[in-house]
Amino acid sequence: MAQFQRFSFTLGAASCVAATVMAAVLGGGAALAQGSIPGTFPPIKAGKPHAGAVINVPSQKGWASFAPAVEKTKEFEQMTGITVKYDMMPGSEIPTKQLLAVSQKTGAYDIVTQHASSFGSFFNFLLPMEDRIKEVWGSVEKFEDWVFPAQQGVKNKDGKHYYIPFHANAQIGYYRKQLFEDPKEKADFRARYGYDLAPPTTIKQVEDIARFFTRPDKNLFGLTANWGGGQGFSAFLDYYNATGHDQLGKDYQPTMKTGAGREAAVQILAWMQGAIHKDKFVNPDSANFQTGQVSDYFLSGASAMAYGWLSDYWAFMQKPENIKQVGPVGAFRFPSFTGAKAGGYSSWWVMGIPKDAKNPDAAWEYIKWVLNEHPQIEMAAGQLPPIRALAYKTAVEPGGINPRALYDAFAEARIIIQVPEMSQQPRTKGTELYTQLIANKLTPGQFVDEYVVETERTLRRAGYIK
Amino acid sequence: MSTAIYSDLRSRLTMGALVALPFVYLLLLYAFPIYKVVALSLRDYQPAYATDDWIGLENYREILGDARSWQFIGRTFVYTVVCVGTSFCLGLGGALLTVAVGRAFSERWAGALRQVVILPMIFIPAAAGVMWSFAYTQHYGWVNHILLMFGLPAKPWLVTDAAFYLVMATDIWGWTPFLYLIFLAALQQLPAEVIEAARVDGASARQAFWYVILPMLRPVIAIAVTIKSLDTYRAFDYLWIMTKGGPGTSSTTLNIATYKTAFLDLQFGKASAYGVITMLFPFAVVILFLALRRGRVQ
Amino acid sequence: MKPSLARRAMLLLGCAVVATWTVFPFAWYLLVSLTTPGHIPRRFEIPDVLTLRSYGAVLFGGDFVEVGAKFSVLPNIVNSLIVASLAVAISISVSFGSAYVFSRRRSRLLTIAFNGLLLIRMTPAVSLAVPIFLMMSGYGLLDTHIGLALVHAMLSMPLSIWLIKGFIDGIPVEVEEAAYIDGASFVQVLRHVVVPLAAPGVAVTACFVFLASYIEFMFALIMSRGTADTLPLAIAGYHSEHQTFYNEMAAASFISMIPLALFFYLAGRYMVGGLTMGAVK
Repeated sequence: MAQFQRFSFTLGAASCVAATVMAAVLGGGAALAQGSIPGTFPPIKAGKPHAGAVINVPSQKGWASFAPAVEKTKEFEQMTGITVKYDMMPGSEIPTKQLLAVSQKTGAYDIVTQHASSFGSFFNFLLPMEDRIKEVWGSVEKFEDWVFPAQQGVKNKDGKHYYIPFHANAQIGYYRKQLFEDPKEKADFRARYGYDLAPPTTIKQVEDIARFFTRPDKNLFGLTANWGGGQGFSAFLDYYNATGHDQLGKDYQPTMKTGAGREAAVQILAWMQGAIHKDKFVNPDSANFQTGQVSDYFLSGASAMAYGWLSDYWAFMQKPENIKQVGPVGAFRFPSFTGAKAGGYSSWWVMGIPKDAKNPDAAWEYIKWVLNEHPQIEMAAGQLPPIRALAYKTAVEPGGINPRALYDAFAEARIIIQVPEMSQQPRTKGTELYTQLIANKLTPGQFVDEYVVETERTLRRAGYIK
Repeated sequence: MSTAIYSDLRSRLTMGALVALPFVYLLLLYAFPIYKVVALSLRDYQPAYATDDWIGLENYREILGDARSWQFIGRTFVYTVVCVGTSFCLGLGGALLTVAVGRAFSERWAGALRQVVILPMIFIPAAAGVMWSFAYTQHYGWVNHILLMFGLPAKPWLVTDAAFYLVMATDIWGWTPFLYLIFLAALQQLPAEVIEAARVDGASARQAFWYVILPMLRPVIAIAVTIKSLDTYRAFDYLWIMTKGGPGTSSTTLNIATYKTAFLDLQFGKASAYGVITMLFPFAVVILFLALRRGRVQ
Repeated sequence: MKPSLARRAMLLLGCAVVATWTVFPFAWYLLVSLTTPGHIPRRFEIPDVLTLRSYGAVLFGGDFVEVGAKFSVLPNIVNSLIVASLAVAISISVSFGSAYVFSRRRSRLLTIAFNGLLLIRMTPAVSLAVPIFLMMSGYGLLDTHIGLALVHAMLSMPLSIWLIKGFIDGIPVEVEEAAYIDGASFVQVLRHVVVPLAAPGVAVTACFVFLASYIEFMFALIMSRGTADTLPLAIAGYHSEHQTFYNEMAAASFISMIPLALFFYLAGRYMVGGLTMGAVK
């Protein structure tokens, strides 16, 4: 990997020099004189050089945290004269629809919008970003430092960046403050468990609190979670990462295969399965829930705690009219199963420019605009900005809109896909196995074995391991 | 038909052109895709990996050598037989009930009953799918409300082993009106005198049904059940919306497997092989049906 | 011959069972569409909030800016109407002449062609999914109204030919002969005699083709990318990864049934012929 990076750095430097020379020869500094719109960073070109271009941007349907960007797109259009057309597709079709479009070279999209578990499939169809990055940030290192370190995991095998991040998010826990602060509940809890009722810091505490609040006769469960289908598989990987394991070791062997990794995976899966089928402190429907349903369930007062991508709803949950049934909502970092101090699954959304884009330069202007303080600050109502300084400002500094737990969880989060090939079959297979597991039709051990077999098959086919 | 008219060349040419028009259209949008799906099934075509090698029957070997594929095939037939069988009984029962109500009360009552029975048909399948998914959720679903009333445990039914059967129940709910309408129309067109005559001859109601009504309905039943079977065999909407073939692959049929292989795994070659396997059965049935009909006509 | 009281009671009981079976799921779902999130009952009871808000949200976009569900299904309704109308236009215009010839002429070739239609009607749609997707992608017709309409017209072509043929069979050929003897050409006869007489039948056929396109799900799913999404996709789309709007989903479902209800209750008597592709009359 290091070799790749050094190589790409030399190559990048060379092409940077070449680009400067070219610009000097061809444009005679015209581009510089043109300048950028004041107050924008990354800078957006002044003088509307791409006016009239229409760019097609795919995004996710019903995605609260991206909605502010869509709302503010008018400003971008006025600034640049570029028209933006959004294609909103269901989250489950984000990888496949775009992959089919760019691999068929239909020219349908000027931008590819992907997330941390799917970006890997696209490298062959994207334009490298290195030159554009250097033009804006000066060097690749400065860019990587400007965003979170997670971005280093999004490089291609050639060590180059093909993507720019625009959204960061992590899964954390949410709880109902009124329930947790109720004197009677506190006293009862203390009497039963011997410590004070407070947002949990260990898995044992999560379990105790969840059991404590589970009262089926009152339609109340301890915890609700997005453990259905694909999101449930991601939840498992989140817990697994948070025990300090990447999916693949340095030698590209799946860490779940043996030893501590396998133990952790089995422990997590057994806990999830048991929580629904045996101990019953998670509502049974969670086995079929996506985040939207978790939010609906939690905010209707049916559970004491919730887990999922609820940060999408964070601003929503701060408004009294939306939480009439539950009262104020607090957030906590979901504890690691082994107590390790490690990051979980990072929801790291990125944009790239496909080779068949009709207006790659206009698309670049758009990507830069999405990274600007506005709309990022507005989008922060439902996510963390991928820009480190901005994220800090919205979640750690006083008055920031986001919970601290979100920042802490994300700062340590890992990129789930370490090699591009992991985006495809292992994920499909993992999801399929997971749905069986959570329906109690597969044991954790069987899950791990079969998932490892599929992962190894993929890695072997791609030549990472023998 | 008198052959005297339109016998001039120009009319005949125009007629030829007219009759050919839809077939030219179908050649482009049906025959060519059929050729293409067969051709693709012999390749390892994966657009995302830019692979497109000719691999002969490898896809078929892979599919037929996988025990799960046989489950998909078996499940497709179970789905078809159970859904059609149940819909048939319910549809015929409903039609008989409607006729009986018409006789016992009035035609207006029968008409009202008919409007009520066909209600599921005026709901688009996608909407019916989400409606029933909702009904099976543990916390909001009325199915569970009923179970709780009887002290039975509530479950998230669509993530249990029951999922496949519940999708079938939904299919039966949604498509029974189809058979009902056909049977009702057929029953209402039966000559009343024949049935009356049978009754006068001392046949009981049951005998009249088995020996008089049912034989007269046989042609209608044959056609309606054939059509319904092949339509059910192709079923996709309910399964996809309600379970996406899950949990695991426990409600995956050939249709779902084809779709998933193509548009989730992006393995177009293998998906095409699934597609070819899927269409073999309907082709066989249609050819058999036509052959039988031809035999009867001659 | 008046049936006994017991028999009548039995029949009424049967009606009650049937009505519960079909009506009850709707009734419950109607309540869902009339309430708001957090007020959907968890047991059998009338929700404490009853409002038409969800219907407003579905049609005009909601006051849900905070959670980003600012989409209404109105554009999807328009998409559905455009796609279905195009499918009707293509299907009817391509099949009418052919149906006429099938009705008036007999030959071995015609019989084979006519029977071949059955094969087309019965082909599983998924078998065609991959090649049609690739074709439409190649011609740049994915996510366009016309692309989806072309596919829907293909799917309903056999039905269209069968139905129209059935209606033309019912037109006495003597009318045509009279016109022909008066010196009208074939095309003139077709246009001025057959078309007006067949118009009601064509209208019924059009309804069937329209509805088939209106409820079609799979091709709409694979060919859409968000711009030309039809109504079934929009309804299913109310439940996505990040958001679930049970109430809006229910409201949209009820709105979507309007065209079907109109047709089935107004033109119900033509229905049976169409359902069985004219094979049963």
